[in-house]
Amino acid sequence: MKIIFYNCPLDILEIGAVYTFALFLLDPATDERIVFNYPDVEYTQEHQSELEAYVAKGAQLQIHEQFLEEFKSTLGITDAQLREWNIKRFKMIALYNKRQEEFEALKNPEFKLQDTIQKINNSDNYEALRVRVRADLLGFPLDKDPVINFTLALVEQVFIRDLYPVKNAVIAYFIAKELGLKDELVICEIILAALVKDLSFSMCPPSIFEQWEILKSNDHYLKHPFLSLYYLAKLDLHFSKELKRIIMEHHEDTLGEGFPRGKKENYIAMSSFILNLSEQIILSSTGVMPGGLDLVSVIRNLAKQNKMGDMNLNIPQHILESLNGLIPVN
Amino acid sequence: MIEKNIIFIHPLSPLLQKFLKEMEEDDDFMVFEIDALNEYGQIIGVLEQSVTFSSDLKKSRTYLEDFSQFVKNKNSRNYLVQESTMAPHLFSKMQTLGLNELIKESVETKSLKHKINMFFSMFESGGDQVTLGETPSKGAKNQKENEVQRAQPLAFDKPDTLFNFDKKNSNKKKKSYDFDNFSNYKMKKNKTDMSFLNSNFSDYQKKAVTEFAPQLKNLDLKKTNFEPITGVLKTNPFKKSLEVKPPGELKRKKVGQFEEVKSQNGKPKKDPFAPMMGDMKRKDIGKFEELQREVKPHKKLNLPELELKRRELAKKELEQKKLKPRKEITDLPGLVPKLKKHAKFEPVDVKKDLERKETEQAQELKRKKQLALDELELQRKNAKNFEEANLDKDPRKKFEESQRDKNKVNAHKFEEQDFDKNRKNFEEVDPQKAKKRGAFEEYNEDQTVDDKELDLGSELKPKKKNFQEVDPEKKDPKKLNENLDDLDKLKKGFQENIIDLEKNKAKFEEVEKEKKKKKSNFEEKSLENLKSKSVDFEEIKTKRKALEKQIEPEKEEYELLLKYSKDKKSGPETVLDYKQLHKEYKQGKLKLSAELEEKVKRKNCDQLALEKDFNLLDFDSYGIEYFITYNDLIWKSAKKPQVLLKFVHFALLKEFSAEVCFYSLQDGKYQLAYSGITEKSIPKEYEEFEKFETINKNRWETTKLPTWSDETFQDELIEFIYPYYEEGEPIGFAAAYFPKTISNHTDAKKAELLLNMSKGVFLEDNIL
Repeated sequence: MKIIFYNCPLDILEIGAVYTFALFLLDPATDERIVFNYPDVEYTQEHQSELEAYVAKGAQLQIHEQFLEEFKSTLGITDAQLREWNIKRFKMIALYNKRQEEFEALKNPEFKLQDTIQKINNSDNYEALRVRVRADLLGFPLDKDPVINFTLALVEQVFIRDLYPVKNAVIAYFIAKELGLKDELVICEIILAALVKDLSFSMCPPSIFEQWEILKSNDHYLKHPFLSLYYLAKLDLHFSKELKRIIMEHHEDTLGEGFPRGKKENYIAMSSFILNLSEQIILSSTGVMPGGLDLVSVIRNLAKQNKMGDMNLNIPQHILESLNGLIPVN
Repeated sequence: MIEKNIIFIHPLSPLLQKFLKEMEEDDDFMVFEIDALNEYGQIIGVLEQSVTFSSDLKKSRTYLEDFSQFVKNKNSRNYLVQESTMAPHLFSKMQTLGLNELIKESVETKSLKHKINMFFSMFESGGDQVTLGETPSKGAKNQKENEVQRAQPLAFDKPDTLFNFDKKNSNKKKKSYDFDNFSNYKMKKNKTDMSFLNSNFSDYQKKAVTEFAPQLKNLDLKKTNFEPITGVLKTNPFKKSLEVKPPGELKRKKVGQFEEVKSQNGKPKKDPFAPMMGDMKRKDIGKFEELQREVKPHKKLNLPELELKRRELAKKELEQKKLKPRKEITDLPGLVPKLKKHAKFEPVDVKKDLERKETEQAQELKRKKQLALDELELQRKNAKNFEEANLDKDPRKKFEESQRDKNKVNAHKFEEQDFDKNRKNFEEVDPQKAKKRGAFEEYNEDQTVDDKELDLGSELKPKKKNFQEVDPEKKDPKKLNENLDDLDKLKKGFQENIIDLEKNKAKFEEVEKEKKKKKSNFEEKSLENLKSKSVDFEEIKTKRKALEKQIEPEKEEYELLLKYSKDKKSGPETVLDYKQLHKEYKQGKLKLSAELEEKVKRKNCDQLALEKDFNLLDFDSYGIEYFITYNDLIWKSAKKPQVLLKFVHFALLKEFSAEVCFYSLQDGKYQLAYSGITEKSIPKEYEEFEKFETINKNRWETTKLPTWSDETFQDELIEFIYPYYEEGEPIGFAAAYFPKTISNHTDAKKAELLLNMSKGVFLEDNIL
């Protein structure tokens, strides 16, 4: 990431001066840029008034990095001034560089997923997995998609404790990796969906979460994917269709026995199945879902398609088989 | 039916993992996966027959040692799968412990399965097996067959009947069923009697073997009978002239000739080549030995003597050869076809050479004669010309004719040169050409200016060829002047372009003035109204387009000049033909350059404008982290709604330093469910919360919609009432106070969302 065009205010330009650098004008709405004043052309009163009109409409006066030194020397602009005018972008660059440095430092080739899961099985502490996922996400770009940025910002906030949604997101991330998913946007969508898919739990009476038998038949719970989308809509953020789809389908199954819509396999996204599976692992291993098995046993049984309790095994076989990569050797 | 038990001891190698999957799919086998060896002890003691697979050397050693009483018997098989082979001493040790086989990782799973099947088949067939030496009685055999025949139609016709519970069993019956009863085909027994190998050979047999002389087939006869199709080859044009024969024909002749040699003498010929060339028989070997004896004295090696003798013999032979005519060699009857062929070719070649020499000599004579005649003719013509020159005064015609004659003579001389000789001859030709050119130029110089103008066309041709090579400085002053004229023409062209551009500029300025007039009206409008509209660069774009249209006619020239301007950077060497132009460009005589540079600059700037800066995206979580924490809390504090309300208060406090109290509607009355309001939030006139509550509660209760006390967010303390509804019925409300921490509608929305987080709590029957 690198700044190519630097924003600058109008009042620094002098009428009657002939600048050796070009002045650019950006329309942020359309992301269109034009050359307002070419080099070695006198900057007149006319230019000034015309420029003021455009800036008033929302246009941004800019200097290309190629002309930056000339610009600074002829107008006596300091680095501090330039930083002040482009504070957001300087901050973003600094954040990106910091994340990259941290990413390089936290690259841990010795990390062994199966051994870590074995340790979690004994201690119920997901810290090692959380740290690993966060470290992996540090290397993601910050200028590609708003979903990526939102996910990374959220991860920075919530990946500090073993919360249910965080555990869910961590397991979903590693299942996705086992399935060979590498696209940064897809991975971010899975993690974000795992974190926000149950936002609407706050609209359900808390007492229903006391017992699984009550919860699974509660009307509020059966509608919660819809309600979660309603919450997200209130944020006024542009979320991708894929993300919304994953949230809507995370309780659907291959036979159409899921909820809220009873969709069948061909109409369900793979990421939705990943979330379904990761949620079942977490709820079963933490005792919310009946069964009373530890994490490794739950994963092993799911991988072998051994149904226990209320586990829903109507998930494509290859996704269930991907759990073999998570099972500890010993 | 026996139980086919297969035990896999973890950790498993990739091969075993694959094999395990296959085995799990197969219902014939019982698969046991074992992590700890204690489990192995529990299982192995119970199982009757089993096969154990492991890929860990240490583990397999320990289980073999620990459970040797169960493992080291006929009922169990133990396989170790490894990538590499094992040291022999280790393997023997493992074998003593009970290891049956060490399998390599590269082995396919099929072979593993085969091994297992082989092992278990031993036990399956054990009951039916008949021990050696015993023969089942006919009655029993027939009974068995009858049983099978009775059972068979059921198994075949109705595979899903009640009797066919286990499909695997029926399949096995199918396999074991004797189809020979229904088949007419019977295997014949091997009739070859090999019993003689058991006893010693008799005398008769021995004799038969020793006197056995295999007779080889006469292959030569076959060869002679073979007649290749030579019809096509005979038509070969080379065959007639060079007497080249197809290989098949040659081969046939060779063989035929040897037969003839034999038949002529009646006895094998003493020719020393014969045994080497033809089919040598045992009888002929004796003759060959005699021949060897004759030559034997040479074997007593006395080298200097031998060498002398050899040289003398060689000399004699050479003399004899010289004396003998060549025809004798050609007529030799007994020679090998190859030699004969060569001999036949020789006289033909000599004849040809002789003929060629004769023709060459004749040609030379003819040429000489022709030259002499030509020279004579030339002399005559010169004389005539001289006479005519006095009569006719046209020097041009005169020169042309004389030149033609000269050329003719030169051409004849040139023909005499042999091209096959060394290169010097070629070099000798060039000076003649140069002389020719020189003569032409000399002649030109003598001519008048009018004549020169006529010859311009012919003069241009060599000019073009040497255009790049000839340095303009070294050129003749006349040619330089011509080049300068060309340059002047180019200059004129440029100047015209400049004038056109200036005209266009004037036009453009007029258009601009008109536009400015319009624009002045545009500026009078207030700028605030324009803020909502997106920025429109249409005006600038139209200007650019107008300019481009004006420039379009000069586009080609512009591109040419652009190229030229680029060339100047790479140095004057690359501008081959524009040297003079370049000098002037350096001197600043070409006025267009400044404008051109400006154009280039502009074009570069336009390209820079197309570059994309990185997307500046927000890096914000928008308060969603509170919802995520709440989702975790809801599982743990399902019975404690107060805790959940407190968490909402905490979120508001952290984000906006806000304080909040919640009221729930129970039994038709609003009751305080949680109070987070402290003295800080209460205005000074109310000393206690209770006083504050009693005064405001009615107002809060009657608020039907979420309401901010100041929508402009200017007050010091902003009150926000948020009522909760379920299916249109009120269930409670929250009253929150923000100490000027809400500055815009986005903050207000966030606060509203955080308060909405506690809605589920009000759905409880009792939260107090």
